[in-house]
Amino acid sequence: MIPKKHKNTFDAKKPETQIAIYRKPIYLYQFHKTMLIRRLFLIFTLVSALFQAKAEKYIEVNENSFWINRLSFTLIGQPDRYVALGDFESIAIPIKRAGKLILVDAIADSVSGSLILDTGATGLVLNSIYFRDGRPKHGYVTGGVTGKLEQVQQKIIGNFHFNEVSYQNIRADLTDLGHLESARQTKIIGFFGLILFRNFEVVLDLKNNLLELHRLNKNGERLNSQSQQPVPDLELPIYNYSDVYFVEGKISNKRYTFCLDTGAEANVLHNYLPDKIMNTITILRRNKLRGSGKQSTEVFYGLMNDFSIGDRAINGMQTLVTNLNAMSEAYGQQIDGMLGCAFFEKGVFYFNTTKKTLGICFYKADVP
Amino acid sequence: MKKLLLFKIVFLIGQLLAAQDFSEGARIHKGQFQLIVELGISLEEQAAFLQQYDLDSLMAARLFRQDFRYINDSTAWKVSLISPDKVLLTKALSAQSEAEPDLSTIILSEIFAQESPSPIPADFTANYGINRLLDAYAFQQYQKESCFFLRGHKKASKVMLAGSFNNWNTMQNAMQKTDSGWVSCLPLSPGKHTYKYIIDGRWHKDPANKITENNEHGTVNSVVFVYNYKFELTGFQEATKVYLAGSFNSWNPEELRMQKTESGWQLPMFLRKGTYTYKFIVDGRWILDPENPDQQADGRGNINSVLSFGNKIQFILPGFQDAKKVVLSGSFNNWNPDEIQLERTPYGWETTYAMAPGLHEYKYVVDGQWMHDPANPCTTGEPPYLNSLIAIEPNHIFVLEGNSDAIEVLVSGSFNGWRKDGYRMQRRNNNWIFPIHLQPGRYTYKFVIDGQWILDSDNPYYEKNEFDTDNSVLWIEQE
Repeated sequence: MIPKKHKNTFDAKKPETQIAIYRKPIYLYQFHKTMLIRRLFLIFTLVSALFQAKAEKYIEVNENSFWINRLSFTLIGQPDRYVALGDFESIAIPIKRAGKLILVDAIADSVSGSLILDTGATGLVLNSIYFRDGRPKHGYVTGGVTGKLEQVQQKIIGNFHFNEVSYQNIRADLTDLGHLESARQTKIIGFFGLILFRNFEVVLDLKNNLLELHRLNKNGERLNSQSQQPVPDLELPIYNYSDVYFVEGKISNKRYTFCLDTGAEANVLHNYLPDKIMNTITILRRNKLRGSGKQSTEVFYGLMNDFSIGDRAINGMQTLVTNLNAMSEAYGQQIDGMLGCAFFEKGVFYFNTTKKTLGICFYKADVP
Repeated sequence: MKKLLLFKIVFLIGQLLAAQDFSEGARIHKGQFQLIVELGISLEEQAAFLQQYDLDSLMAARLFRQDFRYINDSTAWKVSLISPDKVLLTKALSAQSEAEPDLSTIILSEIFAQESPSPIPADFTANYGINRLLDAYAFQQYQKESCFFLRGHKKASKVMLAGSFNNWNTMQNAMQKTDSGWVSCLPLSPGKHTYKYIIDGRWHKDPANKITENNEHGTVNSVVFVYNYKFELTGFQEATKVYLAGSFNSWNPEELRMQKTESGWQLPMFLRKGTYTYKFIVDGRWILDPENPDQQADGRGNINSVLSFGNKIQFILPGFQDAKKVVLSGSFNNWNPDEIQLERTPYGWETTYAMAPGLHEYKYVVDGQWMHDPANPCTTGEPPYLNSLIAIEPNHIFVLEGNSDAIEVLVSGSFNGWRKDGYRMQRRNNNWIFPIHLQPGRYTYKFVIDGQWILDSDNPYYEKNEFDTDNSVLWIEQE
């Protein structure tokens, strides 16, 4: 879980550009009612003709370009859509770790470095240190400026790629990730969520430091017939808000909603869960953390003794206990906890965002 | 009515049981943090307890003095005695506030509290190294390039090479397929390099390299050394075993075995630049290097051969003609006040000394009086207590353009603990410069122009610090 000040920037339900092209005339003119009906009829006829043409392969549309007969048109200006380009059906991408963070190398407009795989993020966020426009002002005295609200900066990245997966003209928010970089002594150019991997099955195997992507067909099956998902120990339904996914877990047999967050270096539980639940947590430590000003917040560190997912009990996972109200507000969704790296280190995870399932093959316990 | 009564009784019993359950440790209960405190614990245990639960020391002092009234009246905590030597300490969970740290800060700080000690930075400072390969072709060193070779894996579609030399970038060095495996050649500087192969996305250590080291993730990296020096001993061809031992390997007599050649013995290796003493051990007999006239007594009756390898720096101190003894002393020789004596010249004093790459502090000791080098404007410290600074093989030069009318310009940052007295920069034409040698990693810094802290306006990379001002950011990568 990386700072998520700009949670709602990416709205998955924005209209697609193709539709906008057809709608435009209707919005532009205010016709008399009969005129409007007549125009609508004309448009309907035109759209039907287009569909028929498409069916007969005179027109072909894909996600970032279309062609009519031999004329090709490129749809530009869809920076909120992350269309993964690249000639592959399945691909294995090496992962690096810095602390618990899960990193993949990438190049964004000639800046190279590592990006955090953060399934708790709703989009692509880049480190403002490397993507600001311009240099600091000459002789810029730094001091005394406090309490100034920084505006959310955005940037269009013309070319973004990691391994053989590439994206063009995508929008990224900018935020300062200097604290993470210096804590981890690793060049971190940003973080991204599963929105970049729509229409893919994402396989996360932390033991082998491996991320696999498999293109899916409309039914959520892998296109690559050579590579089939093994029968998982668990297959759980997941649901999403934007491109962040949630799963149901149980503590002391009560069901709770957990955010699946590979960007969280620790699991987190909401401190307002009922006593019956809290009593199953062994509190090992308490910390007061200062925010800006005199305010501080309490964080508890403990062990989850009665957690289960599906029919599998996972005991002794480390967790933080703190207030998750701000998180819940940001997602517009009550969140009881977050499952972070400690959870994802338990096995191989198969995110299928088309079928909306999470498969888990647990690692066999290390034989001493 | 009866039902209500029954419910109340059950509820009270439940409460009682719950209360009885909780007799040690800590828990979160009814929106409160509850902590059982044993009053009779030792002072040491008290200190550890305070740290574990981040308790205010004044409040805790009253607690262990059993001054409960103060705690109940004047703090957010409530105390109740549950047995003569045990109390229950409770406090409502703090409410949400806008100014509290964001969750990522919380997670990061907690992760840090768990990680102890802090992760060991990669060791780039090995004094020496010799490769141990199972297959001589696995790593070969040529004049300008070094080549890695991975045998087999012919069915793989892509093999990448990642290591300390490319900042472990997984996308930078694609290996070329050959008829027997995969090869990648790249210019590598002499020294220690760690690496792994990525075969179709999966990390593999080099199967042909016996030297590995653990990384912080519980797996291993392969280690290879790029050589820059060859020890040679002519003759002694009738000997069966010849070893090399010296200050670089703590005089281990059975570690560095030399190889027989047509004319004698040799040992190519990586040797960090610097000044060393050494000897050969021919069939158990310690001998000086017969071809090296440079020798030094070790103060315990032994004489050793001396090797000055690398950057020989000439130190010149003009004047001081009347002095009897001038010594060079610095961070490079643990500030030894006798070891490196300067020789008298018609103009003053001088000596040459081979030093390892790095930023070194030094002083002259003139007849027992310590002084900084008057000819070197790069210093650190507050006058008159200045140490001179010298960067050997600098890998970065801080440059501040303009400000030629400034009296004093410093650079200070994470590399020197943000010292207020910083590193004094030197004026060069209309600019201020400071050459430095830093270990690979991330650094933050600022310039201080006559007491005013400013960002480096020529560096586009800067970040907010905890004081809500900006620091310039600098990455040093392994050469």
